[in-house]
Amino acid sequence: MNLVVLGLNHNSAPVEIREKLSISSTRLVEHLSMLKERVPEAREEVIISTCNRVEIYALLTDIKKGVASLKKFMADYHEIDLATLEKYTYVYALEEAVEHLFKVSSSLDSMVLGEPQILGQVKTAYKAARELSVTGSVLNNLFERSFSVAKRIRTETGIAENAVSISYAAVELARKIFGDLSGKTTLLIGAGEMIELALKHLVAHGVKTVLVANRTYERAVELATKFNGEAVHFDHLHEELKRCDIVISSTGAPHFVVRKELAAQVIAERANRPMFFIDIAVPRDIEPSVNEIDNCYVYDIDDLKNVVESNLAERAKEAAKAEEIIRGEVAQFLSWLDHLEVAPTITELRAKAEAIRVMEMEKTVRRLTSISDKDKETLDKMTAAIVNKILHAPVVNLKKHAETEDGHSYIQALRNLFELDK
Amino acid sequence: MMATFALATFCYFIGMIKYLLHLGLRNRMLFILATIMIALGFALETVGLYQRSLITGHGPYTNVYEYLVFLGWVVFGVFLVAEGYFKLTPLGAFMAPIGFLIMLVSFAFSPEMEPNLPVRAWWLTMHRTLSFLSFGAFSLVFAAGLMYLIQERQLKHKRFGGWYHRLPPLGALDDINRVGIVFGFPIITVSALAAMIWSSQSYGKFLFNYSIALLLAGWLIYAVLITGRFSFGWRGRRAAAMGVAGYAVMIFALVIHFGSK
Repeated sequence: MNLVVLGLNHNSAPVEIREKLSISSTRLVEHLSMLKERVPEAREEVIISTCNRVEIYALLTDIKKGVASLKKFMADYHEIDLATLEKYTYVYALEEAVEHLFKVSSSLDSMVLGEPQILGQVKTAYKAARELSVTGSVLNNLFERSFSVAKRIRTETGIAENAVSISYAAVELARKIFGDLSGKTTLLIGAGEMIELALKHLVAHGVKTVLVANRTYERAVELATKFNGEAVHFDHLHEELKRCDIVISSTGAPHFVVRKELAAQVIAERANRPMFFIDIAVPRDIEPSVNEIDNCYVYDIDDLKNVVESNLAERAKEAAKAEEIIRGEVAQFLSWLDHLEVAPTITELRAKAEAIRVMEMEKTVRRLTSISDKDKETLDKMTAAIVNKILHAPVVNLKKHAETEDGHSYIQALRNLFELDK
Repeated sequence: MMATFALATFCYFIGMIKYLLHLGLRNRMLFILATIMIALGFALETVGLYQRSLITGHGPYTNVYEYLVFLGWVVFGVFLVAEGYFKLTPLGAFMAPIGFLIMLVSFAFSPEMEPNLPVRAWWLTMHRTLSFLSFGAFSLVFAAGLMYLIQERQLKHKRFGGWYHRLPPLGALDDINRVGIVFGFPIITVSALAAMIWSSQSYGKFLFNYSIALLLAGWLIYAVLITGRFSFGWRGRRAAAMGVAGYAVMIFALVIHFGSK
């Protein structure tokens, strides 16, 4: 039994190829059943298709022929020539295939390391194949295992911990400053897409009151309605700032909207309760020296970018830990797979030898006409003993080696030597 | 009993190492094991203290060895409660070393027991128990303060390295500062009053020496901190720094105070 994955992702293929080869969710079922017909070597199969990857996981009876038919099938279906397909796809077999799926599910193979969507996408792909009954014990076990590996990595490493978008980084910083955001008040000065995104995240994390200030009061009212907030007058900024914990500013003003003197005054009036200024405007709205005031934190757009960069680096570090976990899990899965294969292999080996023995016995007995029943019985016993003795050592050793790392190669070698797959 | 304390100290040591490793590696299992080890050490030490008091017939208040063992016990006790209450995983890496060091130093002193002490003054016992308790609370304030000062630096200077990712939010640390002071300050104040009452009862005057002056200075820092905190909104960096400074003075005072015994 050969586990393979044939696929392409954002690293192996440009978007023109990926979109050409992608399979929409509505056609997935059709695609799966067609694959079953066209690739007779495939015993089990799962197809994952997302915007960044298309992958066929299959359990093949014959690896060479099977991979060739898979490729041909893929090329035919999407009407591209085989050479192009081969240029942009990768094929992983057995342990590499297992490792690859574990990485995909845990988002180690994603464009944005640790992004959370991929696990759901893999789950959906697996469910579709399973409902169509094109999976069996091997792929079922492999995919279920990959989900638990993904979960383990998510809880045991910090792969998904830190924000990797600017708007989310602002929220992460707010949480580093305040801890709990519930009941906090946010003031928006100005407008813009980034402000809306950041606000959305903040509200999701418990920020209660949203105040909106704008040069034109009507615009403030308009935005406030949109965010379910409260419009405030720009001229009352000083008063309003007093009740705000988080200030997000993005005005087109050519000068600072919040100067150091104002911030110092406000913070004193707030009895030093911390304030977090997020300045997305260019030119900046918040005087940078506000950051020097105790309990005031000012982050401009570049600072936020730096947070994101450092978080990505942090995720990469965590990925190393995740890979360690995956190595262990791959070994465990392979040993399960070997155990799954070793028993049928031994049975098949015995059956094959027994078939040869019976056939040869019959041939010989037919020629020896004068042989007595008793002699026939003796001959029968002797041949059976020869077969058993010859097979004894390979069977015992196979069982022993199946436990080791190269168990699979032993099983495969034995199957090839005795032509068990023919 | 000595073996029990040694074993407890060993558990604290393993727990401390695991907390420090957890701070670096952030492996959840390490954290759980660390807490288990500290709890185990604490349980062992509790048994040891109980056995000892059965023999001596009094609490662990008679010599420096007993002070230190008891102080270590209080620090770990406060720590376990604080960890459960505030749920801040890096706390152990800052507080366990304090407790462990105290336990370690205790081995430098003679563990002799004085079973047949005359009945001690009630006020003195009260002073000692309360001052130990307040020391536990101030250890917590110190650990939180240290973390606050480091994390605040990261946030102000926009450095997003290991500390930034590993240390808790400033808000949570400031909460610990507040809670620790609210518990610690009244206790140490009552403890100081008890000491004064005892001293005037047994000597007819207030004892005064360098260590007492230092202890008073420490108390004063905490007094200023709690007043500033609740009357003038001193929070954040200033409160954290005062928590650290007060503790430094306290430690210095205790070294002299115990040294004079």
